[in-house]
Amino acid sequence: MTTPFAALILERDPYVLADLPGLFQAYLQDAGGFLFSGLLAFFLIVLVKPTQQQQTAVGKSLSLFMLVCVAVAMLAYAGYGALVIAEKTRPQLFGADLLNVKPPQDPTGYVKTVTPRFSLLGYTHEELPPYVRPFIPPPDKAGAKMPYPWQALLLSLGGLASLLGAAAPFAAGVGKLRWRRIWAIAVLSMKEVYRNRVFLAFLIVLVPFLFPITMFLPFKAEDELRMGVKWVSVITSVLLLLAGVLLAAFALPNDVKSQNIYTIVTKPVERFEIVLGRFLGYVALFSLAPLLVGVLSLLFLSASKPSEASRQQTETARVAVRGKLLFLSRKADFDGTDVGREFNYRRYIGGDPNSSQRAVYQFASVPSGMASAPGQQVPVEFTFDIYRLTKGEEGKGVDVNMRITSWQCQQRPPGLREGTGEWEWSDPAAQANYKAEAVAELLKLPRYANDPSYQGEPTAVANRAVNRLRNVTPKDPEWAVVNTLARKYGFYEFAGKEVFDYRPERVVVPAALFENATAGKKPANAPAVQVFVHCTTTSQMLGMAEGDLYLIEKEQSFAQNYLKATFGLWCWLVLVIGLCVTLSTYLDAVVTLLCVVFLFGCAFFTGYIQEQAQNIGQGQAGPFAALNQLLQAKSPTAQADNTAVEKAADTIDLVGAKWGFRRLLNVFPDVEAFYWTHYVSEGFNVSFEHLAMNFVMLVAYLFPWFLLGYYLIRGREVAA
Amino acid sequence: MGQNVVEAHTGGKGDRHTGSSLPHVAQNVVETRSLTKVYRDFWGRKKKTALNALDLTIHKGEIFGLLGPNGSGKTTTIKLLLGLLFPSSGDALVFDQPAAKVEKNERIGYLPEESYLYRFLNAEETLDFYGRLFNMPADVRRKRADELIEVVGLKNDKKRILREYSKGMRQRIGLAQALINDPDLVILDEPTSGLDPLGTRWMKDLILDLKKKGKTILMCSHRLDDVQDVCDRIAILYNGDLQEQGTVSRLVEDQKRVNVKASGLQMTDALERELTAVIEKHGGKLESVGHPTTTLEDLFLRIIEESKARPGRRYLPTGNGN
Ligand SMILES: Nc1ncnc2c1ncn2[C@@H]1O[C@H](COP(=O)(O)OP(=O)(O)OP(=O)(O)O)[C@@H](O)[C@H]1O
Ligand SMILES: [Mg+2]
Repeated sequence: MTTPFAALILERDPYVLADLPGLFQAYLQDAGGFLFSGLLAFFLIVLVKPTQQQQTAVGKSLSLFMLVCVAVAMLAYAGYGALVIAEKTRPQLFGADLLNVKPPQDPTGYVKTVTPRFSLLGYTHEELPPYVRPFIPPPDKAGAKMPYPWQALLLSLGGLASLLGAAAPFAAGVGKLRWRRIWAIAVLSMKEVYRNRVFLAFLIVLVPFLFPITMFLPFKAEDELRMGVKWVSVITSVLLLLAGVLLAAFALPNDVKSQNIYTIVTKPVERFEIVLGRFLGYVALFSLAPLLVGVLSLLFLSASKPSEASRQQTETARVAVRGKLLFLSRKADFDGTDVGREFNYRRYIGGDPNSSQRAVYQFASVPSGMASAPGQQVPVEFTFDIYRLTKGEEGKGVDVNMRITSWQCQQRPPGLREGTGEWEWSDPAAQANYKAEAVAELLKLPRYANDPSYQGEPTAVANRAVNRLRNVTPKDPEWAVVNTLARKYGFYEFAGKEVFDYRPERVVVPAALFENATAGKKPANAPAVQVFVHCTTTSQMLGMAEGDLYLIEKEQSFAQNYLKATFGLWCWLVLVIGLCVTLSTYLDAVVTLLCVVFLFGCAFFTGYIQEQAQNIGQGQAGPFAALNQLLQAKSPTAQADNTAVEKAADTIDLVGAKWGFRRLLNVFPDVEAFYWTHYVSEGFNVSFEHLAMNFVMLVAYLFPWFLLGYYLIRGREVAA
Repeated sequence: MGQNVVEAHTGGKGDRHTGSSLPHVAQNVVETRSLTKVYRDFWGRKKKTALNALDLTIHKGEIFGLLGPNGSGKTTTIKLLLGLLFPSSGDALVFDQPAAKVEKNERIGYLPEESYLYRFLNAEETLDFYGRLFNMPADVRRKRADELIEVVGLKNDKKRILREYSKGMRQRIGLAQALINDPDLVILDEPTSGLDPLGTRWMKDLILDLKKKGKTILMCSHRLDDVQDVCDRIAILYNGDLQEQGTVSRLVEDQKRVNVKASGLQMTDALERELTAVIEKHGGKLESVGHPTTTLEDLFLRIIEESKARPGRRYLPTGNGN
């Protein structure tokens, strides 16, 4: 049995505009840190052995400003260091990092890469990352700010000063750049590729398209299109990236080698114009390529006639609305059960008709368009994991009740002593009204008007009516009733949905519920819509993570989504071209090539490296503790006996190594942020907001590299 | 003429402009002060001292020749003046500014030792490209390019890409790109290398022409006749050291010898005897007397001119030395 759609399991949230302040703070701290090291090294070299070359590189006039910046940065960093030592036990929030706390891996979050948070205006306990919240006592007054994060401020200040200091000579020189010269060099680069017939090598990109996709791998019918998309994307990305790296890495070194650069730098050309010109030339050249390849591969994919099943799964672009996941029960400290599966970031709720355990997905806000969704229905999609405590019936799933409420219909868990596990409305009067109106509305339908079971004892009738409404589909005449009630009360429940292990499922919600959710004045921190998941099959546990359930706002065209996703490939291309051009201002072509391949390649493993770093201090000795053990000839399993040295080593490991490591990893580009193929292949829409953030990330990442290139090319003896 | 202009302007040495515009008042277009260049490898180890405490001044409007055998440091000097290299010590000043300044390039034209141009461009595109680097508007670029293609005689080949050009043609287009900005200082590294005698003559005339327009020219060469023909002043480098500097006429003139040239007569014993007598009477000594031979260059040039004037006919020598 196939399902009509696929699931998208994400390791991380794509960046959205709301992440900008946090990202900017982290950028100041991280990029600023790198630039500070660069500045410091530069000043040291100048102090030891000043040469005309160095002066030329930075331009003389601004070195005083740079000196001031370096001084400010040094003070800030010194202050930061002092605070780290002084406030050793106080947790501090920087971007995404908390110092002095051992953050366990976030068990509920499917997001492994945590988006940096903005903390310079202070923060409340609620704004802490969920995985550290339990470790930090909240302030006495609820909602009050935590102590101000001075460490974060000093670190950002140091970064800002370094950024200014490093960028000042560049900024002063920017006015001398002339577009006509830059464009002349860009055009030259393009002409070179064209006239030297290098572009013929690009045609290699087209070779895979000569063969039908099914020739390569045997796919299940439903996977044909999905695998086709992935396959085509891998091939075209690799080939285009290769072409980009080769062209860009050799451009400047070839100019130097052939000495063509002599005739250029002896013209009134700012040397950075050569770097920019080359960069823009290749970017322009490669800008059409992803789109062209995109159109071609779309044609190719449709020509390969994918099966109907695979088209149903992939050929769409669902706009998903994602929420936060909580686990709640009558016990206040319930946080889902960890069934101890390795590599499993899901948490579980126990299955029983009488269980009060719920997985609650909270949607802070919902798009207004959902209220008028076509067919008066909004799909909720989910993929759950089933953990069987007893061997269930073969081929049978577990039953799930799903309750969807708006903020106007708050729910409360049963009390500790109550016999039932059923959750009730916080407002009992509203619940009673709802039941009464359910009966009244049903009786308006001819089918029920004459049904004797809907006459008689009111409570029984009401319960019957509510039960009936928990099992209607949009095709039923009762769907209108469900909508009417949802519009008024903001409540809908679907019962007895059979779900299977790790298979995408779908329940539809009356659209009018979202009308209720968007009407009125919602309290600021109440989620607009909540989805309560209740497993009713005894002795089964249902596991879920944050990404496992989402609302579908609308569905868009597959083709436009496919083409939008090529923007990610474009970003990758721009990234490698930028790296190649800036590095080759100093490095030889082959060395540049290796460096860029290394930077880009390693970037795919930063997640893994980061995980390793996360484990430091959790049983696994960090580099400094390991060194200390080594020096004292201890076996790593020996009991740590808490000497001062060991404590210090542990602190350095935790504070320094783990945290510094994450920052160092920023040398590598965040390549995964630009990868959208899994969205396309699973039929999910890539939003323009995500693409805009891609562009911001791209510019931010390349900026320090271009600064480096600026100084390197200016200080370079091109004729040596 | 150039020299006169300079004299007329030497008054205002005090008010030197520090900006990029108009240090016309400067007498010295190029000045080096104990300029030294040591080539080092990546690790900073010394490879070669290519230039050793060079002091040079080049005045406005003169043609200055850097002379020296292969590897004596001529090209190194030029690269230092252009900012392609940084001095190991000492200063290189061009238009009274450090050579590393980009602004000076507005007024400099440079012909590299070999024309390192983009071979996939044609002559027109090449000039247009370099014009853009001077931030020239399109119409100015067009006009300059057309003029220069005419001047360097590549009119018929301007649409061909440089890859197809011969060495001499490349040298010509190289010169054209050096002149695209109508520079005040023209730096030519071996301008006559790879040129046939005709081309050499043309190049030398062009250099003299530039001088007439008031340009300053710095050229280097190891072909002494070239230097002697066009240069006002020369410096001789050997192994990175300055050996001699001065005006060509002073350096070349031989005060102790006298040349006599006569026409309309044949060499006879009587003539030689009488000449000897006259010279001895004035306290000199006759070293040699005879029919002059023309230089091969002169002969070659005459042949080419003859064949141009009368295409299809073989050159016949017209008597001896007439
Ligand atoms: N990049 C370099 N690295 C090391 N040594 C160099 C470099 N360039 C030049 N040299 C050395 O410096 C010396 C001077 O070289 P330069 O090119 O200035 O000579 P030149 O006078 O122009 O000779 P030529 O008449 O052959 O052109 C030579 O010994 C040369 O080997
Ligand atoms: Mg040379």
